[in-house]
Amino acid sequence: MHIIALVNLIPPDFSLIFDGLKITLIIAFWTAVFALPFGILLGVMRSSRIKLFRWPAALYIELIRSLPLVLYMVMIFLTMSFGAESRGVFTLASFTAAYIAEIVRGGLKSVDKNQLRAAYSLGMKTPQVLMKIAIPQAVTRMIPALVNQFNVVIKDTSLVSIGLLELTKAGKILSERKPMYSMEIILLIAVIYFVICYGLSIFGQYLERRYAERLQ
Amino acid sequence: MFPAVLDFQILLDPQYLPLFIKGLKTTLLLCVLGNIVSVILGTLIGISKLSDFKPLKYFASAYVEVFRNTPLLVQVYFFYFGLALEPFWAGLFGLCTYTSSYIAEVVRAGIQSVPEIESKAADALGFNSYDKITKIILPQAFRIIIPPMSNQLMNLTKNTSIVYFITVADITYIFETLSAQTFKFFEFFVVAALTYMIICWIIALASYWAEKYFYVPGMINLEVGLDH
Repeated sequence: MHIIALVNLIPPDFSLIFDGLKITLIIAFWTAVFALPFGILLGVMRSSRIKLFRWPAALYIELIRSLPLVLYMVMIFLTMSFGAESRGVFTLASFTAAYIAEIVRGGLKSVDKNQLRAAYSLGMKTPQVLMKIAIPQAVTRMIPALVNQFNVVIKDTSLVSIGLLELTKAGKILSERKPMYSMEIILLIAVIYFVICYGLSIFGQYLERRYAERLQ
Repeated sequence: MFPAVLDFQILLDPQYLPLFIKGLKTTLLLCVLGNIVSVILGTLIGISKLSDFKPLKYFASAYVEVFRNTPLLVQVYFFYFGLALEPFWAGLFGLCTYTSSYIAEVVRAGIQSVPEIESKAADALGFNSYDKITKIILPQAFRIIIPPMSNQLMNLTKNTSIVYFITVADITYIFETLSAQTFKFFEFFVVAALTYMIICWIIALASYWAEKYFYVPGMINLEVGLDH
């Protein structure tokens, strides 16, 4: 193994990495945008007392959670024919939504039942109880877990490299192009991911601490 | 995507069956080896994280942070491109480093949930630190962490599909090859998905059984707070 020598990378290499990073962040952003509402909807349905809502949501969540993401992604990329970026976002968002739904279910479960009883006894209807009482309280509790989930999404975007030139794929291409320096290149990619994910996890821990303080 | 007629007969075609069994073997081998190594490595790192010996403690913390905050695929590429290992071993090592960092956190939380009085009692009875860990702390910690541990083992099982990216012929790779050849996407997908599900069910059943079997009446049973 030789000394880390990033000087061996020329400007086009860096611009490839930079473009890859941009795609990674764009994919992660759109995944979050689509997965969050869908996941919340699924989580609320999963917690419903009405079987017509609960069972399809439960089936979807359990099915997705038992699938490996790679297998799911290969299947989507093989069978669907819309653009590669949309396919990547679709796969990640539909996959992440099942995990967000479980976070939402946990959050809703943690809301004190007396709060709901009080709301119903004040004459509120179920949508009102959900929107005004249950969800605002659940959301505060869910935020640290959601930040962690976003951390996972960033890591999972690396699997989109099946069909997209994102950060990991850029690393792969460069290390195939310059096998002499593959170690440095992969380490550089790893450092970029680490900075983003570690930053997010520190942020998540900070939120968790602040929430714990607020409970006392 | 959803053909009107599913033709599962194709799975028994002598042209494809051996390939599928080969893929199944690879996935199972990765799964078994990966789980064994990750549990051992993760336990060692988890114990080190609580060590009084500062360098060991910092090393373990750094290990957990580094491998938890980089994608599994990048770790696999590190072993495959960076260290130029054989694809199978690169995949296995990547899986082990990634999963062991999660298992280390599970083990650490488990050890911390064993009341400190147990450790003090062991000291008072003159146990040395090796006996204290292996005979007093770990047996209790492991009983507590069976459910989150089995979760990690199931994650590893699903994550074995990562070796698809470095052309190891596991069940996901075989699924892609065969369905591209025959256009029977859905049939092969169902079988590949079922393979992972069945392995996960076996792990879930084993953990349920282990929880019952190793249950000690009256043993402290605390909720283990774990972040996944």
